[in-house]
Amino acid sequence: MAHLGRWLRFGRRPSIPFHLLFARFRSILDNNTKLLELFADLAEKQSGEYVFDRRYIETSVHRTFELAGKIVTDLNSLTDQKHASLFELVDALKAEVLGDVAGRPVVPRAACCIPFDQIDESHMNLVGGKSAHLGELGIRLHVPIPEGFTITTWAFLHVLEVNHLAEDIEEAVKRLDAGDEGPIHDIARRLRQATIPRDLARAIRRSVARLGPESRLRLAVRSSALGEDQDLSFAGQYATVLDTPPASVADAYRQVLASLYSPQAVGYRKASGMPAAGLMAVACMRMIPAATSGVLYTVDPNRPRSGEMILGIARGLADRAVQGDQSMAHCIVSRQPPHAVLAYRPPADGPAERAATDGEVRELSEMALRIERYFKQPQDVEWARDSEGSLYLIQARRLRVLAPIAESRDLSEMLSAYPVLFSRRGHVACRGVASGPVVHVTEDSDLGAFPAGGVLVSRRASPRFVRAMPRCAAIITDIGAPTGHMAALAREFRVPTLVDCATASILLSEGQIVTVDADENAVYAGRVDPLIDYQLVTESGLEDTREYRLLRRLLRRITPLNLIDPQADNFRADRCRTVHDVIRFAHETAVEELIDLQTSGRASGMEAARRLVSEVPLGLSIIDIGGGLDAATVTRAAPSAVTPEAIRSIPMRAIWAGLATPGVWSTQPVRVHLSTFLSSAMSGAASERTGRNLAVVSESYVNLSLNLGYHFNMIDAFVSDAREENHIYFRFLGGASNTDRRVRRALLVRDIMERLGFATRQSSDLVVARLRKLPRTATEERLRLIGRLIGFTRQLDALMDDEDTIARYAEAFFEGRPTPE
Amino acid sequence: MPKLRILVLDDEPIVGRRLRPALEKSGYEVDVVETGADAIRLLDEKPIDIVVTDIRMEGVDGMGVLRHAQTLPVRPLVIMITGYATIDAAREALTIGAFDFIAKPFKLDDLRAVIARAAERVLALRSI
Repeated sequence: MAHLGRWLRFGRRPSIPFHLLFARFRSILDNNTKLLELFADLAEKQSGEYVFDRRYIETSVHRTFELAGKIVTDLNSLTDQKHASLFELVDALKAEVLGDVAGRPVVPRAACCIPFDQIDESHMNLVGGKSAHLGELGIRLHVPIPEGFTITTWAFLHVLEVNHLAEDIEEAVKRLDAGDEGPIHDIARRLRQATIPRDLARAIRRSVARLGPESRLRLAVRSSALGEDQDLSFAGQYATVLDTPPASVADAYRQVLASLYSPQAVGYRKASGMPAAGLMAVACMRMIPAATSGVLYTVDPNRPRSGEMILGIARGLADRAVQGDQSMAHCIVSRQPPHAVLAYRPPADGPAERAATDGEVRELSEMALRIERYFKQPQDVEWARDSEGSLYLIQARRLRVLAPIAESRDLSEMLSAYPVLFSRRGHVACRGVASGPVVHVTEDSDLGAFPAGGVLVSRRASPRFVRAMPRCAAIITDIGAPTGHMAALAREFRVPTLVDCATASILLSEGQIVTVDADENAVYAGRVDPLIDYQLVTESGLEDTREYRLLRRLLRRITPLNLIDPQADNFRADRCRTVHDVIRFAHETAVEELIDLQTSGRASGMEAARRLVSEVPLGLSIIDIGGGLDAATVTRAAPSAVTPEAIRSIPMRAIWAGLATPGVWSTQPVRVHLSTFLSSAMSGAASERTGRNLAVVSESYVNLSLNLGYHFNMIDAFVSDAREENHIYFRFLGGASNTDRRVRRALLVRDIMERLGFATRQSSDLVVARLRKLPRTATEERLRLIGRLIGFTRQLDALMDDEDTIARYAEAFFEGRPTPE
Repeated sequence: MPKLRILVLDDEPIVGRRLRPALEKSGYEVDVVETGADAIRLLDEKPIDIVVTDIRMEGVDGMGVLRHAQTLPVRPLVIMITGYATIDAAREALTIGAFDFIAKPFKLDDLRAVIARAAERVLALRSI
């Protein structure tokens, strides 16, 4: 056999000493953990509790790609360059993210047209600020927006390429710097006559056709350039073409593109630090056959502290581009519900009767204030109402208020006059200030009926509250973590949120008006106007600063996990989309590779991986790197298998003692609602489902990778009589259930590890626990408990229906019960 | 009792943008500048009790501002914000008289705690 083996290996690369390959393997695991911790660190910065800057983001990005690069390099060394394509993927992600960090927007290869209802903030570089905001308001706040689509920046680059314009634009910009306007006008002229590539023309036709067959369909074709958003309005710089019939959309598109290249527009971009060459997406929006339309300012720009809004109403369509203020009626509307009309002035040349009912004014006011709450800045809202009475948002942008809204220097004195219900309590999950009536809810409440502007108060945090988030003013919970799932959702919806406030649900009574200051962790009785005004003028939408946006875009490129199940068909290198996917894939593949090393003949100086034969269905293989298995027992048994009795490795014996605790694996805690997979895991198909697990052992050392179902346990431990060198490193990740339950299980694991004296770090469903320099017996005892914990928790997430289970199951564990129930 | 006056200096605008409202709400009077030169001008113009400054910047950096602060008749307490790999500079700052330092990124509450200690010191010095 040995001869045959050598013969089969003939012609392959020379084999590599096992200890070198194992060093690569450990390096993958080590860097994997560093990256997971870095992800958690970055995610935490979104809460607003931290002060960070661009340098922090830059440093973190460089660190991320440095570690990811090392992992891919190690994986390829370990697998004989089988996954070289990952280098390209990591490089591409890096180029995209670094370009973004450096302010050079990288346009990803994408569709030419994207419908509004599929657009959110993550598409910023593709659809421009205006479209991204509109899409975001539609998706997040359920604000009604007209149907439409955006022709992407990717399409724009395509047009430039086909018409050989890119280089000439660079040149024209340079000539403009030298005072020569001719070339830039020439670019605009060429764009007005540009050839539209065939695929783009087809995409536009299809997108228009999707808006409906009617012959009276007309579109508003508007610029949505990069950087044209809340901060930079570019007002009047770029073209808008109204009343465009379907057949003329391409023409209108060309006109809007051409408006990028006027000397003023180029100058404006330069002055505001944008790339002068410009990047344009174009929004095509169904024109609402408006019965009335107009503008709403959420504060009076001249008297910002008056508590009044200014509403302009016109009959028919009142696009500011075509009509002046003369034909508009004006209302002064209270900012306070029910938003009464305080004064009315008819248009100079129109009928005297009011063009909007009280109900219509209220609906519009609520929508505008919802947008204001979201952006935490006064808004200039353009709206239209069709003949059937349906209201639409046409555009929302930041309202520039010149007079000071609040006198900040007096703020702390003014605040001292308001009764504080509690302060310095809990954690900020999403910062901001908001006021409204308290609405108590439980996890079972009907949140579809949650009143607009209410302050949601609950004993527990639950991601189910997402249903109320578009409408609620703030959230306060007694229990919950700023890293929890609800907190992440609250940040997406930008709802000021305090969690872990202990007894808030008892202190606050139903219907009571409160003001939540989720910056200072304080809740006031009543409405604290100075605080609310102060936020509108000073906070100026921290979420919309370059740094916060950058962080969010970055996290989207880096942290989502798409490769979840190693047994699934998509668990392949070419399906990796994010850095998280890459390291997950690398970890899993590295374990497989190590198990197969002996048979592949790539390693020298190693013992074969031996299958552990036991009642405990772990699918575990063991590689002995020196004194970890009893040589005598091994030779007596079948050559490819060992029994637990053969384990000599001190740490592995301890873990095994815990894992094999009677009752842990033989019980049947399978409830009816468990998924089929979990049931099958218990019914004997376990070794298939648990995949292939690996322990690399020596006399004093173990490195154990246990993938049970969808979750990972990783232990790296050294135990000997030399106390100084003893360590345990335990990592727990993932689970098959929904995020809520996974997080609860992670919290349970964290609590247990902390009680055992480990230093821990938990974020979402990841727990990392470390312990060092304990005497041998104490270290062994803890490894035994970890072994038992792995058995104890393996299906636990499916059972953890509510927060109380965390404490209850921790007690069950410490009472020594083999299973939670 | 007049409010304590704090000067925040960081060349990254987001830092001042974030700190101003937080410190104003805590009852301080706050000025925010983005260059060392502006900070020095302001220090010469009006009395400042506490300076919070980034350590490394283009032009006059945090160390420069600290040195200037030491020459004033009424010396403000200076809290240094350190970035990455500026820990050595922070140590040096402490030896030449900085009140304390805090590493970026930091939690607002951590900075508030450092400022509260500085404020106690300022008030104690005033009462002498």
